[in-house]
Order: sequence, then C-alpha cells, then structure tokens
Amino acid sequence: MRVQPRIVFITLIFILLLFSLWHIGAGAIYIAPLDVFKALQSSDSEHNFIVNNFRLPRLLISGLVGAALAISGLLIQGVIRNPLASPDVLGVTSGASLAVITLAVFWPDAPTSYIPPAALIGGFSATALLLFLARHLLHRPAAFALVGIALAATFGAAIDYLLTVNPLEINTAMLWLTGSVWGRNWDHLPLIAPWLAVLMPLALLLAYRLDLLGLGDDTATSLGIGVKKLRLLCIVVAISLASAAVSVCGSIGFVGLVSPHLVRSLLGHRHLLLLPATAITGAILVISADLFARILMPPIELPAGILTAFIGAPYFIFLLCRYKNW
Amino acid sequence: MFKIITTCLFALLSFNLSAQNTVQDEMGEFSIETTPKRIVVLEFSFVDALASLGVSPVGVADDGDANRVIPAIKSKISAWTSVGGRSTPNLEIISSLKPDMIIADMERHATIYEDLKKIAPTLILKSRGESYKDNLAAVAKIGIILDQDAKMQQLIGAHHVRMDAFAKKINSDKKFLFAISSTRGFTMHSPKAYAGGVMERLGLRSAIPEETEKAYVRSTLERLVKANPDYLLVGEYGDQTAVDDFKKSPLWNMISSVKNKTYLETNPILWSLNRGMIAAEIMAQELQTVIK
Amino acid sequence: MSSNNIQLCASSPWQRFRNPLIFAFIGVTFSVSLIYSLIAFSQFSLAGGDLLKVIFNYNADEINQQIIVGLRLPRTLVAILVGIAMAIAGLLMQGITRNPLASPSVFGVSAGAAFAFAFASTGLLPALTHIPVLFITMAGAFISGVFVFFLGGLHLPQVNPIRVVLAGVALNYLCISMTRSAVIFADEHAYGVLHWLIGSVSNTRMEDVYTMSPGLSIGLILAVLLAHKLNLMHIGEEMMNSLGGNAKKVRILASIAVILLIASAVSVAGPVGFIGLMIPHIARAMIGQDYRLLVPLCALLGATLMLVADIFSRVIRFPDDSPIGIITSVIGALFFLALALRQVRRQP
Repeated sequence: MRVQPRIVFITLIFILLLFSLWHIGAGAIYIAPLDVFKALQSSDSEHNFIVNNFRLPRLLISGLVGAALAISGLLIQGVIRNPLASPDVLGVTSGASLAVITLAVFWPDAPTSYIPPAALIGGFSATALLLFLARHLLHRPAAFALVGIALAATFGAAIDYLLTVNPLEINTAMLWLTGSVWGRNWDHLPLIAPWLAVLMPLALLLAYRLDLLGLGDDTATSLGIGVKKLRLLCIVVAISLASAAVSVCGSIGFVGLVSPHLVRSLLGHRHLLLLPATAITGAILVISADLFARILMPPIELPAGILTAFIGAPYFIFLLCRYKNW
Repeated sequence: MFKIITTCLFALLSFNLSAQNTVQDEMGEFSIETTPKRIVVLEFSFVDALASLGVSPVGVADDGDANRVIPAIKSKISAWTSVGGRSTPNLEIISSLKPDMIIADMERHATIYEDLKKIAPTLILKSRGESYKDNLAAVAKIGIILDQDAKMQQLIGAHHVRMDAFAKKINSDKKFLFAISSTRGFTMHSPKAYAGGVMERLGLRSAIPEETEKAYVRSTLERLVKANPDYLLVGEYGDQTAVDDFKKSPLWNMISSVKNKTYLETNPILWSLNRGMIAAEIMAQELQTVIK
Repeated sequence: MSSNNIQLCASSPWQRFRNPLIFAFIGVTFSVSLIYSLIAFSQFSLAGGDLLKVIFNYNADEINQQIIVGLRLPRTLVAILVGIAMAIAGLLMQGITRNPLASPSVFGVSAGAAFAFAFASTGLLPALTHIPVLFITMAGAFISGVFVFFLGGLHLPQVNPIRVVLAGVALNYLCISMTRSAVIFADEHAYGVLHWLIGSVSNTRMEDVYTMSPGLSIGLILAVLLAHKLNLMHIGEEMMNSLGGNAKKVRILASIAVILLIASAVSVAGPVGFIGLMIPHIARAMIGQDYRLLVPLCALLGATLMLVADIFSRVIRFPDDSPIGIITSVIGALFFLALALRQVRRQP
C-alpha cells in the first residue's frame, strides 16, 4: 500500500499535533484545549505553571526521544538489512543500563544528575566494544548483528548479576531502567536536543547513499559508494542517537523497531522521505505512550516503556507475520 | 567580597526580623518563614508525624489507596487528596493543591527535588529504610518547622513514657522477628528496620542480631529455621505468598514460634508502611497482647 | 561441520577407552558435587555424618537431617532435573535446526514459557489459575516455538542461521517486556520483578519434582528413541530419506520433546539461561557427533553444571541465597559471545 508522500506527511503531522494537544491537555488535571493556548501565551493563566513546568518539557522530551530512537532504528535496519534489527538488539540499551547500574551499585551517593552522562558513556563504550569485536564484519551485516546480540546478552547477564548481589530495592536507578518520562524537566532537554540537531541533518545527507546500499553491495560499490565507510558512519550515527535517548529516559523499547516498518509500508524505500516520516512516527509513539502512562490509572503514573511495549509488541508481531522482503 | 558581606548582613538582619524556623535536612539547611498550612507529604511516616500534632496534610502519596493509612492515624486528620504512588508522585496534582510546604523522602524523591522546590519549599528527610531513631529525629524536625517545637518535644516525651511502660510490662527475654511475605519472597526485618527498632526499644531481643548493616534481609526457609524466633510476626501482601509454601514443609514445625503457637499474622500496613510514633505504640500494644 | 568426525565405531585402544573414561570422570564430578550440594554452605553445620544418618538411621525430628531431606534434597533434585531437561532440549534443537546457536534461551522459547507462567500467576485472567502450571508453560513454549519457527524461516528450504537467532532475540525481548508489564500492572510494588526473569531453585519442594517428572520422562524417552535418527539427519537429509527415515516426522517428534522439556523445567525453576546452549557444545567437543552417546552425556553434564552453579549461587552472598539463573547466565552469555564470534569467523 503506497500512498502519496504529501498525504502521508500531512496526516503524520496532523496526528502529531493532535496527540501533542491531547498530551498537554489531558492528565490528572484536565486543561481544556482553549486554556492550553491561553496558558502557553500568558504567564498569569492559572494553568501556566503545570503546562510550562511539567507537560511542555515532557512533551518535547518524549517527542525528541521518540524521534531519536526511530531514526536510529531506521538507520540500523537500513545497514543491517534485517527487519528485526534495532538499537536494543545491538546492545546499546543494555550497555547504557549496565553503566547506570554500576554507578548506582559502586557509588550509591552519586548525584542523580550523573545518571545521563553515565548512560551515554555506557552506550558509547558498548558500541566501541562491538565495533572492535566485529571490526572485520562490516561487510556482513547479519554476522555483525549476531555479535551485537551476544554482547547484549553478556551485558544483560552482568546487570542481573550486579542487581542480585547488591539489591538496590526500589530506587532511582531501577526506576530509570524501566524507561519513563516521569520527573523529566527543562534541564533534560539539552541532553537530547543538540544530538538530534546535529545528527538528523547528517542522517539526511546519508539518505541517498543508503538507498543505493539497498540495491546490494556490488551495485553500490560500482556507483562509487564506499560501502564499508558508509556502514560505519550509519552505525555510529544510529548508536549515538540511541545512547542519547536512553541517557534521558532509560530503555523505551520497540520504538526503534516498529516505527521504520510502519513508515516503510506507506512510503516505500526512499530514505530521504523515510527519515523525517520515521522521526515523526517515533515522536507520536512515545508521546502517546507518555500520555497513556499518565491518564490510564490517575493519579498513579505508569512507566512509558511498558506502554510502548503494549502498543509496539502486537503491531510488531502483526508486521512480521506479513513481512516478505527478508 | 563586598557582595558576600552585604548578603551575610542581610541574612542576619532578616533572621532577626522574621520568626524563621531552620533545620538541617538531607540536602542541607532548610528554613521557612511562615508556618506552613497546606502541606503535601510523600511518605506515610510523615503523615504519622503530622497527625500527632493534629495537622492534616492536603495531599498524601498514598499509592492511590487511602486505606494504606491505618485507621488510628486516619481518624486524627481530615480527608486528603491522593498525589499518586510514592515512587512516582504526580507533580501536577501536587502543584494544583498549591501547597506551602512539601515533605519528601530522601531515597525516593531526590531525583525530583528541584521540581518539588519550584512548587513549594521542600523539606527532604529520611523515611524509606529509616530506623526507629531516624524516625524520631525526623519527627522532631517536622515539629520545629511547623513552629510547634515545644509541643512536639512534649509528645515525644510522652511517647517515651508510654514505650517505657510497655517495655516494663512486656519484659521478655525471648527472640522476636518481624517479616514481610509476598509472592516474590520472604523478607526479615532486622533491628535496623523500623519494626525491628520498635522491638529493640521495647527491650526485646532480635532473632537476627547479627544483621547490623541491612534493614531488610531476604530469606529462605533454611535461614528462618536458623534464626529460629520464639515469636514470629509475619505481614502478608496477598493471599498466596512465600510463607504459605514454607508452611507445607516439615521444617516449618521445627521453628520455635510455630511449636509454641506464637506465630502471628499481622497487618503489614501497620508494621511496615506506617512508620511513626502512633504506629509504634499500636505495635507495642499488639506485642503486649501476644506475649505470654 | 563435516561427517567424518562421527565415531560410530571405535577402533584404536585409546578410542575404545576414551568414551568410558569421559563418562567415568564426569560421573565422579557429578557425585562429588551432589554430595557437596546436599551438605555444604548451610548456616547449620551439616556434615557427611548427617547424610549417612539420613540414609541409614533416619530420624525425622532431628533438624540437620530434616534440612537435608526437606530442603536440600528437593532443591538438588530440581537442579539436576532442570539441568537434564535444558541440556537435552538444547541438543535436540541444535540437532533438528542444524544451528549451533539453537537453544531454549537464544531462541526465546524459555522466555515464552516464563511469560505464560508469570501472566497466569498475576491473576489478570482468573480462568488461567485453574489450569496446571505445566500446561500453561507448555502453551507458552509452544506458541513462542511456532513463532520462532516461522519468523526465523525454518520452514524455508534455505535457512539463514542468523535470521533464526534474530527472530529468537526479538521474541525474547518481547516476552521479557510483556512479563515486566504483566507484573507491574498486577502488583504495585513490582519493580523488583527480576526473579520472574532469571530462574531460581531456592524455594523448591518435593512436589516440584513430581510436577516436572511426567513431561521430563516423556521428553527423555523421545530423545533416546530419536538419537539414531538424529545421527542420520546429521549426515544429510537426502541420505536419511533414502535410508527409509522420515526427516519431517523426526523434526515433529523432537519438537514435541523440546517443548515438554522446556515447559517442565520453566514451570518449576523459571527460565534458567544458557544451559541448553553450552552443554551440547561441550559434549560434542568431548565425544563427537554420535547422538546415542550425546544424549546421556548431555544429561550428565547438564546436571553437573546445574549442581555446581547451585553451589556457587549459595556462595557468592553467603548466607543469602542468589537465584541460580544469574550464575548460568554470566557463564552462558560469555560462552554465547565466544560461540558467536567463532561462528561468524567460520562462515566467510
């Protein structure tokens, strides 16, 4: 089912705006749509505090995190050419989580503001290790993914070990691990926005070359593409985006896996179109997950990561069942 | 330099002018100028402290279930608004209540300290994993901040008198243990945990005195048999929990408290969630009635 | 893998004695770990004498003996049975898929069984609480097995081994998130849901042994009966069909055995990881490709590894107990990494 790109984009942006408005309006305190605009405009509106301090930063962070994860997934699937690949599969998420758990276990008094940089370092170290172990495998995407999976399993086992030997009970690190936008504010925005601002244009520059890569290594090489260099660059961009996202919100699953599929089924395989559309889809997914996390059982807040799993998992199974182009 | 001196002078002056109350909290110095009226608390132990003074909080992080506050405390205060779960309290509801002070727990709420401060002055104290003594220290601080220092000291004094009376009546040299049982396992509370501290205050021996580091100790049946408490009090979360599996084993009957029929099922909400002076006295009362 | 390292008949004297020696050596290791596991690392000072008393002069009122009989024996038995079940399940999976990475944990089958188990015990669907645990885990193992089969393309003539692994990992991931969600929805203080996902034998009782035994015995009998057929299959499917074997039938029967074995292990101990991946490789390195020897050796090795892991799980935080799954996962994940690196180097 291919649809006119224009229609797809208009629809996606419309849905994004709709969900954003809903996200700001709904919650434990209901704000009528008109009051939302009033609150955004004037500082003496009664809802100004809630909108400006809680809902707006959460909306922006959810959107940016979703976009980053989705682009990361698209790039990784484009390079590895496997619909099941995603940043989580390559061990980025578990590497970041391992770093956070290590911090919490060995330095329990560390300020909570150390968690995002620790996660970022963890994600990058995991990538460095992966690139080192699989340095000869850049021309064999599936084998590369396999090493990533094994690495992720190793990190996962290390996390389980640390958590069992040093039980942390319910604390910040555990909460962070489940993937949630709760308690995120304007201070967290600089942790994700610059990454996206730099890497998104870079990804767009790579888009045309990724299309050629889709034709096969030989064709791409004959058209003057440095296949190995392109793969390396894409993986580094993808993993940086994923690490940044994970460092802000913890592991929010399925966004990087599902969004590219959804968009590809509508738009085909041109990455220049796919990239922005995937970013918007990812943003919609995380924004809606955070929205439902707040409104399902008020005043209790659920972790958004659980909600993306609930939205993403069934759709993922559905997609895989009808996926033909392996 | 000049700026610093003027600020210091200014601070001194303002200190002298207003009736400012200052305490050391977990994040440093906390001071407040007017006596707070609308208070939001994010842990159950703070509800107990407020209730002793007859102050009703406007919002409580009660995990969405008002019955998690024991009736003895509930009857002392008026109805409150739930502000969500203790691990992830709902900031929007807290701000909509327009509080003039928030009391938060260091372990759970350090991450959102800055957000809370934007809503209202935030006193951050020890609550989760606190010992009996930690709790009394926190209670005294709440008294100072509410400008009822004298009354609070008097309440604490009266509490000690009552606890001494209980201790005298109970006067047992047996080994005691309180534990929580859920579907995920069996957890013993050491003297460092609140319930263990209350028992210690009453002069009772713990069945696990060697656990001086950890408040909560996950346990198998083998460890429980080794601890061999003469009095075992278990608070169960749920119908079918770890302790029901223990009961099926012949070893269960070898535990001293089971043999002597001094095994007792208690309310985990009282014994583990509602830490504070009111709860401690009810716990002491319960202990006094079971001890033969 | 080539067929020339199959040793269906031994020729030189060394080869004649090699296999019995290997079995004897592992048998001794097994027995030592068994005795050690029954008496070591207790807060009660248990000794060999207590064990002898249990055997020859049993007194149900003595606490040391009761600890051995009431706690240690079921725990040790469950560890052994789970080790056997997981190891044989892994062997069969590797045999029928001819994929060296095939195993309950890598293919997501034990995670599927664990999810079914966790979901049923949260009580979100009350009807499920009346069905025996074994059937629930079987359903979970079966459904996830079918998913991996089709998603991984095992029904296609040309199987890409890495695609199967990716399908398994995706499924694993899915099951873990769903298990987390199910538990968090059902229980408000559920951030520590680790033990649903790791696997443990800490609080096992004799009833657990009875729960396991029917599925385990049928699975084992099937494995023994299929051993010869799997040898033929290893040589090649055409060869097998020309010799009168039916490859499809063998696959179906072996899959049934795998599901029964995994389901019975998970229903008692949870998804204890990577035993099924490691053991068959170690066994093959010891005695080659003959499934008639591999089946008993895997059983013995799996049981021994679980016993040793169980002892370690009691040591690392003595006197606290740790779930056995973290020991097997840490060893197994490193093994998996090494295996994956070797696998990708071999296939250029």
